[in-house]
Amino acid sequence: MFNYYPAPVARLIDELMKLPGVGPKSAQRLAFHLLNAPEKDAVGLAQSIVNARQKIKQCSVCANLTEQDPCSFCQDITRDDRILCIVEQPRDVIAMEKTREFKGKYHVLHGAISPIDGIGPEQLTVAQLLSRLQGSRVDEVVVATNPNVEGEATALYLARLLKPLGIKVTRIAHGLPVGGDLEYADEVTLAKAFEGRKEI
Amino acid sequence: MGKLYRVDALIIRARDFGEADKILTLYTKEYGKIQAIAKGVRKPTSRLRGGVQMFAHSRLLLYRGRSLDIVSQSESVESYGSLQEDLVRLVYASYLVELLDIAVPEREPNENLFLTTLLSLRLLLGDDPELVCRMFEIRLLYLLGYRPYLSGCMICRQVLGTGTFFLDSKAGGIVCAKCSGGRVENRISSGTIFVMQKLLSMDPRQIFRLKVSPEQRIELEKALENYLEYHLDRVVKAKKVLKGLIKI
Ligand SMILES: [Zn+2]
Ligand SMILES: [Zn+2]
Repeated sequence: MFNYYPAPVARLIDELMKLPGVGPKSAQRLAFHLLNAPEKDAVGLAQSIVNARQKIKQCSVCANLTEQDPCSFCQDITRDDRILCIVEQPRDVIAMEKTREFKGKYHVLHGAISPIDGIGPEQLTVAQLLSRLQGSRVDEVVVATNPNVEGEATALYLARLLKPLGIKVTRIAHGLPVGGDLEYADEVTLAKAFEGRKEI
Repeated sequence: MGKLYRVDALIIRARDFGEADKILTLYTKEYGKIQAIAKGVRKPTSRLRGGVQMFAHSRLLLYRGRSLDIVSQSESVESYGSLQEDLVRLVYASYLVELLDIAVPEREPNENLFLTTLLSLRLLLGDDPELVCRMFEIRLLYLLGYRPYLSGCMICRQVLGTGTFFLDSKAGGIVCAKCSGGRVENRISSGTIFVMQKLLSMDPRQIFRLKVSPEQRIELEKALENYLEYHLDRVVKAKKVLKGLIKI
């Protein structure tokens, strides 16, 4: 269907279609928007993609995305290093920070256990989590994965894994409706969820 | 049929799509397996969300869309929410619905299979989720027309009771040691074959009364896994994750 377009345009459409939630129609619309926009806008976008890709890496401690390693959260000595909040995605760290409720450290899993997709703990940063917990001062881990099947499976798995290490494992639950994504919860709901955390 | 239609559905898959939507795979009583999109259900404020969670049995009102049908109303019949409170049961339930998804083609209704799946999910909440999975596997094979022949050796008709048998996926049943041509894999004892027969014929609510030894469980698991993979032509991904998770 894209054979009608000059090769560079077809290629651009192809690349845009790889983005999540972008189908063939949206990809064509975006491609022509970029081609019709002032050149500096399109080049600016391309450069910011390259820039972000090259400068941003995973923190070697918490796996959050960062420019410097370790990241600013891990380097911040004012944060409590006895409590660790585990989230699925870097965007969930931002959501947590907005509540101003949590003053501990983070760990980003980059996903959740999903048996149906063949995703087990090996595909997540669980090994990295275990090694950072070795000999650390962490005595409580708050599991803030999404309240859906994958998030629950991950939370139950982490509880089984970490409890034998003598670490208290809690789960945010109260206040968050079942099945939603953390990034869509408002601050009040998230703050409530923190108050109502319980051991699992 | 108009643009709106009602289904009695089990949610067997829910994948994130776009900003806040989910694409659902439904196993319905009326039409078998179908796909539908549930818009905005990842937002906490969505009114649809209760009825579109994984494993939920719901009554849905669907709107015939251009490519995908759209969920316009949902009412939960049973959420099976307590499946999500225990890792082992949750993973078994994931395995069960993945197996169903792989085994059935789209839009082929099978009311018995629909009811068997619902009952199996309910029984997973009981004491022996592993045995419930084995029952589901063998009943799934039966309901899709792949029932293994279990009454005796398929070739010489040697009856059960003594000796070793082998479950031959290709032949579709058991063969005795003499007729097996010296094979070693898929060995299955008469006792295990008896358990398989019972899992097919018993009232599902009574299967917990069956005495199944650890050795029989291993034989049963292996034999059914090979048989399923042969007939479904696909490996169940959840099973590998399942084994890894349950070990810890
Ligand atoms: Zn860090
Ligand atoms: Zn024979």
